[in-house]
Amino acid sequence: MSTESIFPLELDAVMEAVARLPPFPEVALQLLQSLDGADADSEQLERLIATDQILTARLLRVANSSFYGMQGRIHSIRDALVLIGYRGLRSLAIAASLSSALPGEGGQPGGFWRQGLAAGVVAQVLGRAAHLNPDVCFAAGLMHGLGRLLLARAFPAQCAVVEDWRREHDCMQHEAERAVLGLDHLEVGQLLAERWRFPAALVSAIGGHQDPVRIAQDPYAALVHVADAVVIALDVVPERDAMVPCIDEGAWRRFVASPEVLLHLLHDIDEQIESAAGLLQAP
Amino acid sequence: MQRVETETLALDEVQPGAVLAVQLCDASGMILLPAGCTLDEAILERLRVRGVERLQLVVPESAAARGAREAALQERLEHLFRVAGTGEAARELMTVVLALRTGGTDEH
Repeated sequence: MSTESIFPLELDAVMEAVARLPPFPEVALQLLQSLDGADADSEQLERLIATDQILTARLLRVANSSFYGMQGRIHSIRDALVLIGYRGLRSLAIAASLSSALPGEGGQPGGFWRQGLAAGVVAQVLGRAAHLNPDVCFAAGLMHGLGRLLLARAFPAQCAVVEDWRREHDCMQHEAERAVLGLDHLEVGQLLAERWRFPAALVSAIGGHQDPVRIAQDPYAALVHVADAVVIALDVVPERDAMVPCIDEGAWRRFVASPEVLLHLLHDIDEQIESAAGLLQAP
Repeated sequence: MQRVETETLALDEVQPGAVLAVQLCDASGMILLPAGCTLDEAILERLRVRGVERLQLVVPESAAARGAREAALQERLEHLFRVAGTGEAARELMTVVLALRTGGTDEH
């Protein structure tokens, strides 16, 4: 750990803050851990969702969004399963459950999960074309900034200093965090993901998407690196000093064969993001 | 996403090339045409046969408004990409976002 940090944050303090977080929502955890497996048990998913009224209401709103072309005609989770499919519904359930258990705070009120959902949708579109597991892609994009949420929640004073430093130096968030705290939200996010026993691909994507070595080794870290840049360029959460990171060329070419292909893949991305963002409104 | 102005016209007043603002459904709720669909003479004829009376259309953007919107977008993108460098990836991403946001209402 750097000894020159302005307002150093010890890993122990971060671990304590992690322990004080509300328990990870059981529904989301069960669904996340099922991402790796091939078992697609629709009835179990239906029962699990039914235990949570708010989750049910949010999912029905998304199923009734114009994106799926069935406005007002989806009345049950079973209908939504037929329309969206087991895997798609499972991904949306994870997103809805997480975003209500850990509402966005700090620097990005309301914008945090919108940005995450958008990254999830983009990662899924790009990852599917590259034959990665689309559900893991979505979850990886969705949660890539998880560490920011914890830092904003547990260490508001430090985060205010990070924010000032970032403004002053007009740099990337994680660079400001490193300078001020001696650690960054990717590291913190990885700790969280490990503690919650996320599948390995998610841990790696959350912790490694700005690290050139891990980007070169891990397809999900590379994917989230690219999806993050795309979402910032799309200006999904228009923050004044948002900044597209320097993009790793190898990662880029892995998912983007040509600008024409990317344009084709993204042609309805706004509608997809808007549809998923229906999850974030209060039921 | 850009905000789109719409207008409702009687079917007889609709010219080929007009763009549908919202999806068109029949009485049973079945979708006849998706939002964003560009109407040609053949489609308009089929709608006449089906007895469709009016359509909600996208008001075409004036050249001046379009120019101003594109200039603002270009400026915003240059700001967003200020540290992204001039590598292929950054250039391609900027090109694609520009195309996506200025492609108007053309269906893919």
